[in-house]
Amino acid sequence: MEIPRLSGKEAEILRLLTTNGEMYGLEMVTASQELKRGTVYVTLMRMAEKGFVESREEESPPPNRPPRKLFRATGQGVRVYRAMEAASRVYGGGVAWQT
Amino acid sequence: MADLKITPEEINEIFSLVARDPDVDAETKKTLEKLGAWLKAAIRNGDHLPGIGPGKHFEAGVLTREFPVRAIPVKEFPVENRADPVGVTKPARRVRPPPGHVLLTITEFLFRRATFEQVIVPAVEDMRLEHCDALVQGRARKARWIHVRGVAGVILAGFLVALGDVLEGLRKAYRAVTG
Repeated sequence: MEIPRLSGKEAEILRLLTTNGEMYGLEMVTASQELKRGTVYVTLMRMAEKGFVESREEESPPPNRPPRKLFRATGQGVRVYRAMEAASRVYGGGVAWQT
Repeated sequence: MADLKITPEEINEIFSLVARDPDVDAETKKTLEKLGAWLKAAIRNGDHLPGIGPGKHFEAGVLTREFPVRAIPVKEFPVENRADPVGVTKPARRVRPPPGHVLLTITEFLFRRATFEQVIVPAVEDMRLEHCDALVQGRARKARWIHVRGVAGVILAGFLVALGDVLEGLRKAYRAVTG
């Protein structure tokens, strides 16, 4: 069995999603110092492939813009994040997110 | 201004454009109406302006000397051809495609569908949103910067995805070989 791995950016995205619920890409970038516009969707796509996040289209967007893609953490994503967070606490911050 | 030559037909065209332009204030319209009446009289008499007549040009400097008109808002007209400063022959295209239009067309062919839909399209939409926000705030420079940064970001994202795919392929191949 392959152990789930979490990079620093993935951990940051999961932290935002577990704290705020559903968010869209630009919202995550503006809420975080670590995430960049150019790479956030690449990270989100990889995370979706791993099953850490899932997305859906906004249901009723305003008429002046297209619907946004909203992301939320899956159960697996939350579990992996909690496990890494717990390990980090146990080892006094000695467990670094894999980059 | 001395080298700017305008035909009476072009002057008439300016009047009609100004009359249709909702942004021109009442004072300018009034001034231009006076100028129009004066020009008609000058054209009728023929001897008030040098070279006046159908198909002939006269110096714009003469106009400003003879008639102290307030600045005609030539710059406000859509000017496509810089050699035609009056800009009445070819109105500029005012409707432009949104930023990232060309980028989307190119990347749709370059990248696989999942990458295009999950990475490129949302990144371009974010760029457009920020671009429009900047324009609404009247910050044209910031809007241009967002456009440039957005295009660079999308190219970087595409490169990262392609690189990731190659590395993943290599990793799988290595595992298959080593068992």
